[in-house]
Amino acid sequence: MTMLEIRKVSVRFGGLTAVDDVSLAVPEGTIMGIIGPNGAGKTTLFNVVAGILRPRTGSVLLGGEDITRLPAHRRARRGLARTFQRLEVFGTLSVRENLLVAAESRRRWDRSTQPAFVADELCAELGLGEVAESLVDTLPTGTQRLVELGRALALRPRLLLLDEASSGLTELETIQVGERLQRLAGQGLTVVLVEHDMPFVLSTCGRVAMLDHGVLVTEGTPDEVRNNPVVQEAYLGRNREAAA
Amino acid sequence: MPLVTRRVAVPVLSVALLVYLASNAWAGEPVTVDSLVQLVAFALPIAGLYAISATGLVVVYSATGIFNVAQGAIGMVCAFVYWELSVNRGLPVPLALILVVGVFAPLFAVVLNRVLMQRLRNAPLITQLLGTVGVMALLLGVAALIWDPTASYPIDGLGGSGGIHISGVLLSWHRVITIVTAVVIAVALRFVLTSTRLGVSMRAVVDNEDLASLHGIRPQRVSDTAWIIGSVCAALAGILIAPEVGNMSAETLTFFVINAFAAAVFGRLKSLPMTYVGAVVLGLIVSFTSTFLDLEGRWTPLAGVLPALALFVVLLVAPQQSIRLGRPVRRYHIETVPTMRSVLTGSAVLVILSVVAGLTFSPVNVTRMISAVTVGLILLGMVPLLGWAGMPFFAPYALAGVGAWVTWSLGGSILALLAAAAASAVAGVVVALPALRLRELYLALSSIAFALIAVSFLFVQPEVFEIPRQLDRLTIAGFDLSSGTRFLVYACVLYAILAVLLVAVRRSQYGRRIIALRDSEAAAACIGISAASTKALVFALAGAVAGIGGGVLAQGQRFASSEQFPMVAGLAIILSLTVMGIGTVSGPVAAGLLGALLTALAHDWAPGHITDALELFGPALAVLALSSQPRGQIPEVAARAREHPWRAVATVVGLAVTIVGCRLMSVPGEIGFVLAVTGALVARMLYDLVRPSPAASATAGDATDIRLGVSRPITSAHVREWDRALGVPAGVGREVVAS
Ligand SMILES: Nc1ncnc2c1ncn2[C@@H]1O[C@H](COP(=O)(O)OP(=O)(O)O)[C@@H](O)[C@H]1O
Ligand SMILES: [Mg+2]
Repeated sequence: MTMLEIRKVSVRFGGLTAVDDVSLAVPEGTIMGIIGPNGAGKTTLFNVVAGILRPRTGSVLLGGEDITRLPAHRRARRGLARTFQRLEVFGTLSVRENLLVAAESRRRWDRSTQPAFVADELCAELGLGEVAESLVDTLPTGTQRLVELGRALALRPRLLLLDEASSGLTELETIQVGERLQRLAGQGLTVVLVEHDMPFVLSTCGRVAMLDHGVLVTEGTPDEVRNNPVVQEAYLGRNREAAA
Repeated sequence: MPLVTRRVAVPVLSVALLVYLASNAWAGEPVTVDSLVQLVAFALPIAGLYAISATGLVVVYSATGIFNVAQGAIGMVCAFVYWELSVNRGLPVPLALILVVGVFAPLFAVVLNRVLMQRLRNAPLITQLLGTVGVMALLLGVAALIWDPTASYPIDGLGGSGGIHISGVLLSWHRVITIVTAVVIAVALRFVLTSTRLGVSMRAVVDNEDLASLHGIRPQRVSDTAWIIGSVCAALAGILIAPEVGNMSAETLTFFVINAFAAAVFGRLKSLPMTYVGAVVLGLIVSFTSTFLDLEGRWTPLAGVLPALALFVVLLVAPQQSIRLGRPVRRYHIETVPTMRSVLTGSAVLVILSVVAGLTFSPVNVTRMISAVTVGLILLGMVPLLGWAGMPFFAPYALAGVGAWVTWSLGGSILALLAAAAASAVAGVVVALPALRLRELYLALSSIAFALIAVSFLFVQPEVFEIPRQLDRLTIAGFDLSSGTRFLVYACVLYAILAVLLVAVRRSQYGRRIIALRDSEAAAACIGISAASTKALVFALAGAVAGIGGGVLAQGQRFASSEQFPMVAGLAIILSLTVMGIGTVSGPVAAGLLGALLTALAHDWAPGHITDALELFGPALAVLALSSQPRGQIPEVAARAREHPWRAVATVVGLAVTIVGCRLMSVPGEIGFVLAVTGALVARMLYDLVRPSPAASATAGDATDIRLGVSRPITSAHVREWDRALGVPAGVGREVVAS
């Protein structure tokens, strides 16, 4: 089944077309990576899917249901969770409360959730046990990213959007997150992640899409994308410039 | 309701209401060309006044990010200074005008900006707003000191008698000057804002907080200029309004600015042309009602609140605020969440103290304590709203008034109190609805407008407080609570119960949800929290508690009247709550006691009209406390007590020694009370002298003011962290090759 379908979505900010007629389908249980230079429109696309932004044209389907007109909180209740590139933590709540408030929110549409249990379990699994009672604002960026990941997972979503989740994490933490995502994908979770860390994307993702200037350049398996001349040009070309 | 529907429905409904009103109250004036010209001739000066006021608001807000609630008060003081110079001292009018508009107003603006407003630049919105509320209170206090409020201040219009005759109406020179001034301001500002470098750098950056923060410290010159323009507009508006209201009254002049809110919001607080359009529409509405309508009976006071009502209409058609992402500056102070044990202990202490006070204080002071606790109850409702949810709401007495009315009309029993809670909860939600979808600032404005509508229109309706009747004595299960002492204990028990309930809510999932929404709207939405229903819940909670406070007020006085819920006092008590600690359940009663103490001091030791001035000076001095300890006294003191337990011990010992000393020397109770507080403070200061406390470090948990590159240098570690956070792809290409 297709978990997420993006149909001909365009977003404009004034004169700038940030997302240009993008269509994308993500099958259930897949980890899809989205790559592309800064300003390519990746975050904007996430904002459209999550309901933070209304697209100019196009529609978004979650598990076959058209959610284009739903506000963000209703999409969350239908199983969509996300993290933010520029962190959006609940800074004056503790780490545990950040996860708890998400789990409690889920309990409102799924009575089988046990919020306290979910929060404690995720705290332990993400290695946040030691800082569980600290206020999130007082923690370093990397830890705050893990809190955001934990908060998204505490919703037990069907579809998880991760915007540069590995930036600020240590190498070990990144590897652990990758393994965890693959385990969850094995259980049916669909993940879309935006990443700059290419080895991470190529090793973790089942499919990869590339955006540039708001346009979907290519979409395919990691191997196909790696060998795509446009992708090579985009990354290798810039690297040559940087080296010069 | 989708915006398009609302944009059609709301204006259609408002016009329909206006037409209904018109058909019922038509004065019989025939609609002719002449009467229409009259309508316009009357509308334009009013529009001019609104436009001048609103321009001041918009310029200051768009250049500095601060919405100046004191705009009207500045105009009021300028008008009085002008009266003093031209009428009282007999200076020629042009000289007086130059001195006020050209010298006093700009100087005042610069001082105000340097002393207070610049410090508030990065403060939480509520602190910013309350800073300007404090200035307003201060100016009202100063004015009351210098210009006796009971005297009369006649003032002539500019340009002498006579004027232009248009279609049989006389447009006085003063009104012609008003219109011309508004036009000149519009043209001059148009030029300054588009054609000078300073002007261009003043234009709206506030809508984009990111952009504003990138600017770092805005050049002082820019904010000085903005405040000067704002202050000059205020002065002109004040001087031009003064002759129109006949006898100048400080409050009338101060609150005239509320009428301009709708115009400023019509211009989105940034577009001056739209602000002028809004002002003209408002002027036409007001002029229409006075030219063609003959409002009678219950509708008489409606004319005065039309502009305030218009604000709600403008808010309803305003486009939805999109969800905000990433705020660069933390806008809230971290509060420690009280444990159930500490709130239970505190409540027990409160009740015990109320018994002691009730048995030992003189009747007049027991009455003062009762009103202190009543104010505390009303403010307790504001804690979830202002303290937890961070929503600026400035109409506590309006909600309390609803509670008082319901309690009073249902006979004043405990059951009536519950009904009052329900009614005020509904009122809270209804009032908040128009502003819920919008930025918090709009809520502040609409709540001030609501306070005005409540006091001048709702509460004076014949069905509300106008029926003369006295409540029965309050009894619970046959136990008479009408004596001062018993009622004081009753009020404190209620306070204790509500405080415990509120802490229970704060510690529950609802409390977490409220904080989550405050900390990040976007993240809250993305975990399934509905902003609208969560905010509505907070308003219901706030309304219910404040309504009970109003009900207790009615029960205590055994009668109720609209004068019990004055607007200024509503702002003042919110200010003292903020000083005490806006998110604590002990703050409200402390704020109430502070007010009672000031009243006692003023009435027992100060003569004449200084009394009123003192009550207003209290909150104004509070602003200073706010700017030095923005978290509030109670959290500050608690934090220090934790770090310096001996300091707390010294304070308590000082308190105890003075109380015992007073008893031994049989000092009267009230003086003893003041002495005891002084003793405690002196003991604390002595301790600090012996062992200076590193006070600054105690507030380090509050990161609001830590701004990289401004108050702390940027290091290469920061740069690396940002690179990671921004995801700057260091060596991405190499990795592709390597893999
Ligand atoms: N709220 C906004 N207003 C105006 N322009 C925006 C806004 N958000 C993003 N943009 C612009 O849209 C483009 C895409 O941005 P973004 O989606 O953040 O890219 P990416 O996440 O791929 O780095 C960029 O040029 C950015 O400047
Ligand atoms: Mg991005």
